[in-house]
Amino acid sequence: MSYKNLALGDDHNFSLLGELNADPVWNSEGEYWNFEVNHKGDSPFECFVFTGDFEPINRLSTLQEVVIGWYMRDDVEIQNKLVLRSGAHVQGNIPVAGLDYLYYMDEKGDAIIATTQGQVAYNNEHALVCVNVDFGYRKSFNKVFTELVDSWETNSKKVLDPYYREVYIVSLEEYSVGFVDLSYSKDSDGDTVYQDVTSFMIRPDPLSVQTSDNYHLEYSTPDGYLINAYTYEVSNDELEKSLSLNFTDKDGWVVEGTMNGKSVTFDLGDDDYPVSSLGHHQISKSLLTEEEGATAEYLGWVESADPSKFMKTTLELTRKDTDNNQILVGIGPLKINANVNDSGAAKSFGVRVGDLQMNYYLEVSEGAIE
Amino acid sequence: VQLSNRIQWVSRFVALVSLVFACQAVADDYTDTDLYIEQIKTEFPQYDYKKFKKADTISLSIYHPSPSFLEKRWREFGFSTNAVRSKYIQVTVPKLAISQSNATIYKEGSYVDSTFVLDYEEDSVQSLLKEFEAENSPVNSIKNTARFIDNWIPLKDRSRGFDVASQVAENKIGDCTEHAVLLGATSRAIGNPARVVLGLVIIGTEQQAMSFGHAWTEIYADGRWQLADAALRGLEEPAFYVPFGVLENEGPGYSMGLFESIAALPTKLVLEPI
Repeated sequence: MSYKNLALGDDHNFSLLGELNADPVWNSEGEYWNFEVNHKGDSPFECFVFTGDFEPINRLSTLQEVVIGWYMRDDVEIQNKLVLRSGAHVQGNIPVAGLDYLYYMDEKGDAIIATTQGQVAYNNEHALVCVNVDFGYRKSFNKVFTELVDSWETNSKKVLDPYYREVYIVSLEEYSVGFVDLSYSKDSDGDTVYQDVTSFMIRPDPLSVQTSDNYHLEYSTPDGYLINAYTYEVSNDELEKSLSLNFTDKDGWVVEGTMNGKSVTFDLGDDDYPVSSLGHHQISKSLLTEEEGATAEYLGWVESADPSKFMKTTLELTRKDTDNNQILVGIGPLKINANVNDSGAAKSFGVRVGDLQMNYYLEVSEGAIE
Repeated sequence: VQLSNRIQWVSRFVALVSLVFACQAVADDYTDTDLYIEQIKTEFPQYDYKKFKKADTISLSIYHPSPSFLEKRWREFGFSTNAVRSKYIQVTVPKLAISQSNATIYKEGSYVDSTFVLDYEEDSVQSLLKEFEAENSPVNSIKNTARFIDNWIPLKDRSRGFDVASQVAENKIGDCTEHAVLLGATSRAIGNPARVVLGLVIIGTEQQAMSFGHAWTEIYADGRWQLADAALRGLEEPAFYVPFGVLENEGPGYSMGLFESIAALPTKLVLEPI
C-alpha cells in the first residue's frame, strides 16, 4: 500500500496509508468533497468531507442509503433496514459516531442481505463521513477511518479560532448515543461567540433510529448578557427547527423562524435581560465560592425547552467537596445533577427520564474560559 | 463551570428521549429486547390469558422512585390507591380506565382551541377535515373520527419524534403520539373537546402480557371523558390503559410537558393474579 497525502482545497489535509481510486472530487452544490479509498473488497470505502457543517449524525445516517444505492443494481429494491450497531466515542480530541445497518433487499423475488458500516467525525465545523458497503472488512474500514481522523487538519479561514472547547459523550443507560462539541471564541467586535453541536441517535426499536443534530450559536456581552442567538435542528434529515432571537428597540426580544413545519414569531417582550451561556458560566462559577446550600437563579433562552419565552434557571450547590462538588440545576420540571471539580470543570452530569438514566461525560477540555 | 449552558443541550436530549419514549406501541410491532428503549419492566405472575381477556379490572403494583408523587398523579386522574408502599403503589385499573373518571373534572370551554400542537386551523388539517366531513356522518362520532385518523396515517412508523397535528396531516406517518395529536385536533375542530394522554398500555396475548409507553386521546362527550385510540384501533388483544399524565402544555414548550408525563412512568409493573 502506498502512502497518500490528501489535500482537500485549502481547508483539509489528511494522511492515509492507502490508495485512492481517483483524486477527490469537490461537489459545489452540496459543498462536500468525495473520495474513494481502495481495499481488497468489491467496493471502495466512500468518504465525504462536508464543510461548514453542523449535521454530522444525519449525514452519517442518510449517506449510507445513498452509497448503497450507488452500488446496487437497478432491479434490486431495499425492503427494510435494521440498525446493527450504533455508538459514539472520542478519538484524540475529535468526537466520532458509528452507525451500521443491515439491509434486506429483493432481487426479482430473491432475498438479498447487505450491510453498511458508517462512521462520522466532527471537527471544527466539518464532518468526515466514510461508508463501507461491502460485507465484512470491518477492521480495514476502521483502520482507514482512524488514520483519516488522526491525521485530519482543518485550516478554514471561515471558522473562528476557539479559545475554549469541550467535547462530551452522551450515554443512555450504558449505551453511548451521541456527543456534544462546544466552543467559545471572540469575534472582531470583542463579543463572545458560543457555539455547540449536539448530535444524538436513539434507537426506539430494531428497525428505527432517530437522528438529531442541533446547532446553537450565541453572541454575548463580556459581562454575560445575550446579544442575539440562533439555533437549528435537523432530525431524521428534516429541518425540525430554525429560530433566531434578536432584540430591537422597537419590538424588544423577538424569536422568528420555523418550527414543526410552521412559520413562527414569538414576542418575548422587552422587560428581561436574558443571560447568555457565558453569563451562566460566570454565575455558576461564583456559586462555587459560596457555602453548601447556596442558590442562584436567572433567566435564559432555553429554546430546546420552550423557545417562546425566557425560562428561569435555578442552581443549588448541593455538595461542596474537594474536586467533587455537586450542583443541582433546575429548569421547569427538569433537574440535572452535575459533578464539578474545584477548577470549575463539569466532569459529568446526569438526568433521569422515567426509568432511563442519561449521562454526559467530559472527554475533551481545551483552553480556558476568559 | 458552564453548567447552565448544558441545560440547553441536556434538555434537547431529554426532549428527544421523551418524544421517543412517549410511544412504544404500534399495533403489529412488539419486540422483546432490552437493548432498545422499549417495554416497561413487567412481571405477570400466574398470567392467564382467558381471565385477562374477561377481566373488567386488573390490579397492579406500580414501582416508582417516588410512590407518593405517583399516588398524587394517580388521584388527579380520579383513581383511588389501594396501598402506598415504600417502593410502589397498588391500584385497581378498570378497562378503558378514563371513561369512569374525571366526569366532573371537565372545565367548560377547555380543550377546544387550536393550539401549537393540536393546530387544527392549519391548512393541512383543514384539508383533512373537508375529506372527513364528506365521508362521515355523523361527524362528531368518536368511532368514526378514530377510524378516519387511523386510515389517514397508513405508515405506522416510530422514526418520528413528536409531530404536531398539521405535520401528521401532511406527512401521513407516525406512531401513537402522531395518531393522538391528529385525532385530538380533528375532534376539537368538529366540536368535541379533546386532549392527549400519556401513559402505559397493557396488552395481553395468549403467550404473555406486555406493557408499553403509549399515548392516546380522550374526547369529552356525553358528560364524560372517553378514551379514543387511533393507533391501536385494530388491536384484537385485550388492553388496559394506565394514564400518567395529560399533555397540558400544547404550546411551543410541549417537550417539557411530555417530559413531565414521562417522568411519572414507572420503573416496574407487577400484574397481580386475576
